[in-house]
Amino acid sequence: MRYVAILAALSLLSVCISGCTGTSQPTTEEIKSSISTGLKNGTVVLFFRQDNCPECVKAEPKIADLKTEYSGKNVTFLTISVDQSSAKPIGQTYAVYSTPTTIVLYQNGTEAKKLLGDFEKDTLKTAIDSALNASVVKVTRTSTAKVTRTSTAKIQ
Amino acid sequence: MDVDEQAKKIKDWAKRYAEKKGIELNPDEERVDEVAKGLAVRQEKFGKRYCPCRIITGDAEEDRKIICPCVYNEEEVREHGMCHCKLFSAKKSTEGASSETET
Repeated sequence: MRYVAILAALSLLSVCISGCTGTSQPTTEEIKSSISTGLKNGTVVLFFRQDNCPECVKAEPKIADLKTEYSGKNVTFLTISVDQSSAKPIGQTYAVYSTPTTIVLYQNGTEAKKLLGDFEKDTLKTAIDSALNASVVKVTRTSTAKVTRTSTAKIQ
Repeated sequence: MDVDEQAKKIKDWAKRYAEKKGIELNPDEERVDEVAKGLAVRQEKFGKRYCPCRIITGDAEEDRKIICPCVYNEEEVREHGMCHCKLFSAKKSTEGASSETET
């Protein structure tokens, strides 16, 4: 009986180690995958933050506002907490040394804009719009090319 | 020592440091308190007063650069009027100066 109780206690402990913190941290691969998925849909905004960073606290509501504002507009907002070990490689990839750092990515994954520190909402909005427009131009050109090729084929 | 007590000590130290360097603390006291608390939390967690706005790499030599006052603070105060965290500011700084930097 005592043996069963010890086993039960040990199994509860192992569950707690993996899940009792209440937050599951995404792995590096999961973060990378979210970025890739976002880029397939359009523009990606990476918001790098960490706990106890006053500038991050100031910028967070602006990110939340813009996320709402751009909902359904092919913009993916990803918040990356660089104080988690799994997020550190992502920070290194984008050369992030301080927080908050906000990076707007073109659909091809290159940086359209990097904002260090807190920012004006309009500055980020302009950067997102510009990246979005670049994506739209790219899509339009592709569509035109396709139409032209189809038309030519039909004529022939 | 609890975090609040540590934060108060850090704030006192920052005041003395600013005076010595001919700069001042951010006139926004709330911001100074927030940064001091961030520094205190990191002191408690990592044993060093790492800047709460910079990323700890795990490389001791590299991370030494971001112990407050970080190696970047003097240049930032000189060029932008405030350090990245907005703890220190240049004398006679205009309130609400933005540290927003674009690349």
